[in-house]
Amino acid sequence: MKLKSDEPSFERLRGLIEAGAPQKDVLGELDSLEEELVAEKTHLETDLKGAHKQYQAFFEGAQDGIFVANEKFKVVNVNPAYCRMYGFDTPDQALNWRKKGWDVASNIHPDDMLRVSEYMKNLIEHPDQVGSWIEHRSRRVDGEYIWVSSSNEPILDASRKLIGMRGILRDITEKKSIEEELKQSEQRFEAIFDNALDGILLADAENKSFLIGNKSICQMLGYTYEEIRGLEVMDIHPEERMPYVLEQFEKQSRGEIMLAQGMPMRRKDGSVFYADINSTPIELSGRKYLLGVFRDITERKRAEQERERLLSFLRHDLGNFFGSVSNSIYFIRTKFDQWKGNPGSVPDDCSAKVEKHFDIISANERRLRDFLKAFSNYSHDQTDEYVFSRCDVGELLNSTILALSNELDGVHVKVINDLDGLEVVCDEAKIARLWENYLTNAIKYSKGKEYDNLVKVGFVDEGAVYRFHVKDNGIGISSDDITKLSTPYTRLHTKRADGTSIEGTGLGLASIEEVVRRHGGTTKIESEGEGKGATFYFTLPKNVRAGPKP
Amino acid sequence: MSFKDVVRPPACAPSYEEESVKGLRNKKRILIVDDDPCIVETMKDILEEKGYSTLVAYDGEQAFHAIDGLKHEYGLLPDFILMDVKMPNLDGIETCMRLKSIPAYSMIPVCFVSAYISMGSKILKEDSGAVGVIYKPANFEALFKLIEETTGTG
Repeated sequence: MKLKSDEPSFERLRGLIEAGAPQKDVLGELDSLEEELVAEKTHLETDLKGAHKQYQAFFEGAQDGIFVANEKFKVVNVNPAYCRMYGFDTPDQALNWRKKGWDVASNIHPDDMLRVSEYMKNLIEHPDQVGSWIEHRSRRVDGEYIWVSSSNEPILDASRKLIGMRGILRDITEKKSIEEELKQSEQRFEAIFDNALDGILLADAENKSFLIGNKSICQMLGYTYEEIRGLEVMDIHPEERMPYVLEQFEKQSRGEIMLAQGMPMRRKDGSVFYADINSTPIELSGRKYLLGVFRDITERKRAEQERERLLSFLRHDLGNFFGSVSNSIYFIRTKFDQWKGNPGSVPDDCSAKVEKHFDIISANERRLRDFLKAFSNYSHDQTDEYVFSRCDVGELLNSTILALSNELDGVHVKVINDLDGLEVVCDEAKIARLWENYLTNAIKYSKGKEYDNLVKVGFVDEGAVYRFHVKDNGIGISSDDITKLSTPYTRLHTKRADGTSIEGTGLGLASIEEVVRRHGGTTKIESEGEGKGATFYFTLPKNVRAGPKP
Repeated sequence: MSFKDVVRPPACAPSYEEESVKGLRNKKRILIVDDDPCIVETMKDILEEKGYSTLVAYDGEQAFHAIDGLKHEYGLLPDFILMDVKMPNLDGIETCMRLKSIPAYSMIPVCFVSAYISMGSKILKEDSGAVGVIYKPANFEALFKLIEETTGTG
């Protein structure tokens, strides 16, 4: 009930006074008005008591902590929830903490202080933002920090001077702990995801677009994380293999197969490599995805191709060795049968022809022996564990020259060793064989003993590597043949100027290539053409490391 | 002639002594194409001993030179070709397929000689036009039979 000047009681009193009513009537009306006012006051007092009770009940029973602080940020009123949050037994204990009261500002975690100050400053400058929440750490009486989410309101006087503040706080330590655990879990997942050596891609099974990829897949394909997210299955495989790729993708999505082997992959620059894709169909929020793990098998495929080439080479050569011997035996037997059938009649050329076939058998026996030795060396070069130590490669060359002196002298090959005591970290036995291969090559491809055959071995210090050269003045190599030599196990069908054929095993250069590769170096062959000699280069890194086994 | 005298012929039209030309005309001509001089030399002796005349080439390109030369110089063609599969420059399969694409040469029977047994079916599957495959070491009785079957009695 409200009393206003236009209320009937006042109106009636004004009417009586203006009409000059008798004093008795005016006084009577005044009494009546007084009664009304007393009744109203009583009613208001009852309402106020009720409201205070309600507020007190809310204040006392609130689950959130509520505080009021003075201009020095010492609490002047706190509710029981606040006490529980901060470890006080009673509100009085908080109000009288160290005689000055609990300080709501200085107990904020130092790392959060600046952020909370900015928040308070913003609230004073922009009162419309009162009601916003901030999360920070706050210290309890026992010294432990809890995470709170708080909404504060500065209390200002008429001149907008800060005279206190009030606020509501909610303990979010448990929520923060769960969030932190989740964050750590995510970080752990990210660490595994990103540091996996295999590439990982998550693709939408329906529209085949990628949602996420790890660092390895980005490196494999040459895209950034952001670029990967915008790609689809069709973007990372060669167009011409797409029907097969999509067939495999569908089968993996349906869970019919897990592994798609030797899948062709297309990098951003258009180059192609091969990968095994191991996949798992998964469902996230009702949508189907395919999680693919990509393993680059380029090196494995290279090794397989290398093995296949070697096997084919072996089959061909062994077939020829045994084929020749078998043919010669067949021929000799035919002649023998003819002679046996008619011992008195031996054709004129019989003896010469049979002798020729015995020569062929001997030559093939020799070829087979050389071949098996070269193959055994090459196999060891591929499969041995390399033992690296510092050794004098010039001295190793001298030892090899000495060991091959008969062969070198036989075709008048002079070797000039310009290595001059150079020490390199290498596998001593393998480098000794490398020199043997180079020198055997120089002997084999020399112009002949009527020439002054010269082989110069030297090196250049190129900083990170030593570049060695073995330069001869032999029969040289045509540019076509240099191209052919880039294919492993290539045997050149070469003749000297006098027409004699040069028989090589085709394994000498393959062996050199392998030894240098395992030392982390590279090889190269140069020749100005037939009759103009050849230079064989190879590098050995100073900081040598073992190359992978094939 | 001993084995050390075995050298490759030049890659040009073959020229033969009068006696050899007579042999080429009167006997069945077998062209041996193989990059291994030992195989060539032993095959040559065995086939000549059997009564055939022989021509040799050490790769596919030389085979074409030999056939072209024989045709232009003497108006003859090989009656049968024994072709190694794995050779430098032009391999056996490619050589055979090219021969089959030239009408004048397409009827010459070609038999592959391979050191690799499982290669046989692959070669035949590739429809190179070969009449057969023999494997090293060769079964000569089977080879002679194939030559006679495919070249007739002329």
